[in-house]
Amino acid sequence: MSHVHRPDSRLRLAATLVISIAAALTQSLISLGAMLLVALLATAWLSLPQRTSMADIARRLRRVNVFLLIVWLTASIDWRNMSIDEAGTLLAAQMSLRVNVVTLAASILLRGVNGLDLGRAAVGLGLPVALGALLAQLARQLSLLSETKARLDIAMRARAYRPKFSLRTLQVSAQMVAWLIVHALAKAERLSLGLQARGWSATRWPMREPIHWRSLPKRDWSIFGAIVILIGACVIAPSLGVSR
Amino acid sequence: MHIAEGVLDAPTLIAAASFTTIGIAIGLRQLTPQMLPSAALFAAVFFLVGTIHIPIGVGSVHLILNGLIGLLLGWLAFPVLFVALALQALLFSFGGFTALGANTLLMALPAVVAGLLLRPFLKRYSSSPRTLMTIGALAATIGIVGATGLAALMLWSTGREALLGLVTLLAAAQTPVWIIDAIVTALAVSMLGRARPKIFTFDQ
Repeated sequence: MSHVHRPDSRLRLAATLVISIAAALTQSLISLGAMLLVALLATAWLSLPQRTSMADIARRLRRVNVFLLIVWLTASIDWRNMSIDEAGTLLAAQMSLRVNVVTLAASILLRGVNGLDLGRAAVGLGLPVALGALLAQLARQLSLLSETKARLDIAMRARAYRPKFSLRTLQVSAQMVAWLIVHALAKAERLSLGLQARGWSATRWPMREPIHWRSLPKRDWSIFGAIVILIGACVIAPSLGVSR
Repeated sequence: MHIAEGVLDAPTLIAAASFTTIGIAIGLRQLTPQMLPSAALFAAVFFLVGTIHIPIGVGSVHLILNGLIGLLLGWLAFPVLFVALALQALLFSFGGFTALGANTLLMALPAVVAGLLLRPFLKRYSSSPRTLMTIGALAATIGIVGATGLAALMLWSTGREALLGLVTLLAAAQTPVWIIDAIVTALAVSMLGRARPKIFTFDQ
């Protein structure tokens, strides 16, 4: 386990948000480039020994960079005059750096955080309890409903169903959607009955209280502080004499 | 349909997040602890239908169905789509946490509009399959066209002329998604009307 995985999930989410907000507010290519360099070094240090996490990060980066390729093709070239659009090129460069910084930061900081942790962390950072409880419930129900959908997929494949662009495929997809909704509602009714039978009054949100901020280990705060200082240094880098 | 994190500028992100906060606040006023399991399951359904792909030529499109969510949930679409998108950002890096407000707004606002406009007709004509199909197709149209329009508006607000090409490409790319979503939503609403008509009054 690496250092980044140890802190409380609230601090990890907060650090991700700090990086995302800093990247969104920064226009300087030097600052964004410095952030990307730091993110790449952190990724290499933390994820290179683990092949599976590198594969996951590579998949995420590939997805966002395909979109960025379209941005470069449409924004940086003036297709009518067949010339380079300077404003578009600058915007595409800023976007490319930002998107990669944020994707890398979220991938390494939130690795191992599941939906339940995210719900609790978000409530700890000020999200309404109802929304946190909804997120936690979604994480629980998703795995169950995914299994149901996987069973349906297998059953359809067993009947030699192959999706293609046809009205039949659309009909089958609509049936699956309707079936999932009806199944979800029936399951929700059973769940409510089960909870009532166990004496759950349903007058408050089922959300566990997070650990008090003061009880968090100093090490967690140190890591969070180091991330904030590092990002701050990247943001002010151009004003320290480095010009674009 | 997600706008990746880092694409929109700060004023656009802040404006979108403010509208989303208002939408979520209205939605949460309708959410009670008793409704929590059902709302979470609807969010899970929305999450899962995004994994249903329809092949087109060498590529494929995935279902969005925000119009259907709006028909079923009304204002609850805001909190439900917010949590589903938050989980997608966590698990797959679709969108992101600072773009969550923008992505929720572009999916949920058209959904709510579809719900507000079409739900009264659902109750009145729930026994007619053809009318249900028309309502479903209209809901999907409002959902997809609205989401595309909002995404285009946000991109234009960020990059003005520089992103006009991307905006045009986005609108063109969404045309097959709209047609497929409209057909699937129409069929699904008709099937739901036959199998479980009470589903359209879930939050009332």
